[in-house]
Amino acid sequence: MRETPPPERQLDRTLALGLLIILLLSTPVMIWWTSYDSPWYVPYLLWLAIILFIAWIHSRHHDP
Amino acid sequence: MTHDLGLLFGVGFTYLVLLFLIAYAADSGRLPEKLIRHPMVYVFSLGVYATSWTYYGSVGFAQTQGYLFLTIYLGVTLAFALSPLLLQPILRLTQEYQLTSLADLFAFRYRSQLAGILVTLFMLLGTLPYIALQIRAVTDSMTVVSQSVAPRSLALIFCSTLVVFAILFGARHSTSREKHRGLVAAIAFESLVKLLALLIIGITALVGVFGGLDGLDQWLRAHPEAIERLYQPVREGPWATLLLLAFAAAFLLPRQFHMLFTENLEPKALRTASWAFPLFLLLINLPIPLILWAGESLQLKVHPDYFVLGLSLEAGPSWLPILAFIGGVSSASAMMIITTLALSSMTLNHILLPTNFPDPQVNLYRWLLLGRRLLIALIIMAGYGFYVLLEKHQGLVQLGLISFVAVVQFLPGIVGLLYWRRANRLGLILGLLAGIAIWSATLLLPLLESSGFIRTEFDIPALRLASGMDQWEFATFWSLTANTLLFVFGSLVGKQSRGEQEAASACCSESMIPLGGMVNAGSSAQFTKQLAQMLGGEAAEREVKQALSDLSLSASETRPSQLRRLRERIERNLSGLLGPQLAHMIINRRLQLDIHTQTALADSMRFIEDQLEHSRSRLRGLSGDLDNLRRYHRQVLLDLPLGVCTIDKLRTVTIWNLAMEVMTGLRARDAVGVPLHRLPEPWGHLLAGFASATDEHIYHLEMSHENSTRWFNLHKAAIPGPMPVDHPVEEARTSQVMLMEDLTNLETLEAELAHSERLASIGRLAAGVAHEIGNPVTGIASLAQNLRHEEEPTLVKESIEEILTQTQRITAIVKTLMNFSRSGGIGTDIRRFSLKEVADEAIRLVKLTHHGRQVSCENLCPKELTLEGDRQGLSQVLVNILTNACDASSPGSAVELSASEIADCMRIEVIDQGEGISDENQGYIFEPFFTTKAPGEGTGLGLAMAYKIVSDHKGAISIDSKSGSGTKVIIDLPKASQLHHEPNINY
Repeated sequence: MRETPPPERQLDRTLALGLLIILLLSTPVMIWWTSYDSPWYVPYLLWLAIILFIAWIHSRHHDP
Repeated sequence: MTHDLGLLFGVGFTYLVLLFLIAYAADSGRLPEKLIRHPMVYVFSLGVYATSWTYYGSVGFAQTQGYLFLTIYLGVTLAFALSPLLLQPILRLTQEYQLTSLADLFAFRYRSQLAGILVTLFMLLGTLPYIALQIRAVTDSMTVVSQSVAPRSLALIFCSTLVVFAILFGARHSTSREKHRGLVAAIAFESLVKLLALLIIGITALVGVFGGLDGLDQWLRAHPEAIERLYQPVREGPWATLLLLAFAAAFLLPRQFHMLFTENLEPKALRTASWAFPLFLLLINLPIPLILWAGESLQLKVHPDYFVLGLSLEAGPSWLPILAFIGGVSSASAMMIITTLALSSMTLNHILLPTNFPDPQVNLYRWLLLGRRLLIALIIMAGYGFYVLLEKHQGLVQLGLISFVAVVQFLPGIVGLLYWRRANRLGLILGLLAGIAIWSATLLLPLLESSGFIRTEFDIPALRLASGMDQWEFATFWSLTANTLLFVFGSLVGKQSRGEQEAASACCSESMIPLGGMVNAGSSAQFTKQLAQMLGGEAAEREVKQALSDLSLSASETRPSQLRRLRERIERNLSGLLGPQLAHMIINRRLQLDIHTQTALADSMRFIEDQLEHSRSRLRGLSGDLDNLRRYHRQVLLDLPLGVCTIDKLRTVTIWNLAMEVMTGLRARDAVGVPLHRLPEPWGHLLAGFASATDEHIYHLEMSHENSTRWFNLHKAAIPGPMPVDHPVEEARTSQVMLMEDLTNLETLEAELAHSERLASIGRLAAGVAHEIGNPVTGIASLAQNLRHEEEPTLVKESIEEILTQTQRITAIVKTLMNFSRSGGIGTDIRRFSLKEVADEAIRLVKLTHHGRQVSCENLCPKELTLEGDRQGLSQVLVNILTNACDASSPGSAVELSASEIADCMRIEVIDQGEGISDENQGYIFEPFFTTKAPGEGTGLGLAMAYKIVSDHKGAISIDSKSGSGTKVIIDLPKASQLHHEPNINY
């Protein structure tokens, strides 16, 4: 099976990441983390998780 | 606790002086370059996004809209997460084409000055209220901290200081293409200050007000509505709209665009920023709920927008309000400086220059610098004017969001720019006009109306209420929808110009259009002369020099393809100076192209390969595999140990590999794109002549180069071009590939081997030589002894004659030996000579050997036969063959050497009556180091050398032998030497 070249994979990952962020921040998934009993710091935790994910995705990309 | 207004002013002013010092230290090289280029400095410089709105306004926003305030930063996080798709392509474009603002980018892509003007005007209109907001935040904060109304003069002094700072550190150069390190360092420092200030105030809220996490927890349990007030607006408010606005603002706001792209020192830093900048925003927003709750808990009397200050006054140590105030000044000043610089650059390029281009007599650079500085002052003062005129009851967030809705109007244009090749200027302008109109009607007019400037008949709030949308949702939805629909409609209906198509290709990078046409100007001097008519002499000369230096070209460059590149480079450099549209216009007018001239294949190849090398998104799938294959083939060609040079049908070099570079001393970058006949000598004549020659191969071509003689084999073949099916085949077959093989080392080695072989032969002859010389010497000694006592004159005379005869015999032997042993390559001494004389000499030498003396050698060559060639080489051939014949012959037998003419050839035969050569050995006897003699008696090189020399003379050597019945060696040589090749080359 042909291996996907790194830049292509990088773009795929970026798109997947964008979709994930939109899913978390702008869909009915929001109902889950904005529910009445959520602690006040939940949005920050979610935000931090997204940042860590971005760092992980982008750190895997290397210049040719 | 309050602070004196004068003290605050002094502190603020001192802080700005500190910024001056940081900027100066960075600009003058006192701060290490490594530090300034560090990705974290870039990340902090992007912190200019966090203005007074973030610093002060977020608490007020959180109080009324709960966690909706986070959308302003989460949208940015989304934009940075998509950095490889969104930000990196824009960075590549801005750096490659020297585009310094969003207006430049649009004007470049849509090839429209109107687009640039619209973007600039809209940016000015949308951003001035935002600048006013910053000024108001600073004066309001002074009022809060000092508890006395800050006079407007303080705001004026604050603005004036920023004007001086922006001019000194943001407009040091006449061109925006120069980076301002000092400015970046100062802005990064400001971001650090505001982050630290907010974190410290957050800790004060947590520890000083609630007594720690437990205290906070208890307070929240006692006030459960506090958390609900944060979450409720998220569920009910315009969350998605604000997210979209912040997403666009993250890179389209003038200050963001300026710091992200224009002042980017290291493109790689953007990757770090993609996660580090959202982290910075998270940290700066973390204390916001704490400050809000602490303010509510303390029941502060100030507006929630200024809880940051109120809390530090109420619960912090005495220095905290000063730090909080400094943080606010940082937020406001950074935004104002960078926004002003970005707007001044746009206004200069898209409004001032097109309407009022300076006379060529005026120094362009000075004019630009003055213009830029004047605009900086005007824009900041216009912001001050807005501040004075605007009604105070507009919240900080409201003014900021008006700007956000303005910049989101550029979103369709930027997406089209990056990903839709068909997008055109008609669509952009229609869309923008619609967006601006709706934005003005829904947001700007109500703002001006509420401030009492105008009265309108439109009842926009009623329409909004009828739609059931929030103010921001209503404005964003309708403006963006109309904008996008008209953008798509206009792009589908309108047609693109050629310039727009080229720009679309450059932006989308999907297809590649090589630089077409040739420049009419034929030298860089002519470039300067032409450009001077618009730019003035000094600017024209400087720009041409700069472009030559960028491309590593010399001022004497005249190659058409290089001049075409030079034109392109000057346009890019001028784009950084005057904006893309004006640069394009000047270049088109002054450096006209002859578009009918065919582009050389070399240029097309170079262009496409450059594009592939620097392609922002690598080719995928089959294209990617094909590109890998192309790279592999190219590498094979480049690394081939044989010189490879290809030329197109214009006889211009397209490929020049490494071996060619080594052989000729000409680098590929100096040879590719150059017509063959214009290559430096001797290569120009040689290769151009060979390309025109009918011969497809030239062997053993001897030529003098740099005081040495070199030998080459040349081969060529036609390359069928990639022409359309209906194209005549003859035309397609005009490209050529030429191979060049350097034989010099081989030749030198062979010459050395031949010499060694001759010396080895002499060694074998040594005993014979001693004997041959010894006999006459003995004779001479006897005669000389007799002469002592001889008095008879006749006998004395006879003795002397005899001595002379003996010495002549010795001289002949020595001369023969010297001739034979002389060093020198084959073919270095070509002349006509008598075959019989050479045969005599060879026999004489062979007779010196042990076997030679025992065999009778007969020279049957006719006296009149002459031969042209290398006399020494042929002598060696005969010696080697005769030596072998004598060695193979039994004592007393005869060896005959005869010669005859056969057509154009001379046939020499050496016949012995020896033991013969077996059929098996006949296949190997001309191979080097093959010998049937006992060890120490032969090197095995004699016949191999003979074969080589005869081959070099274009002759043939063969053996006719049967085991036990003697051997006949037949040598056929052309009568006229062919050692000097005369290829059919028309120079």
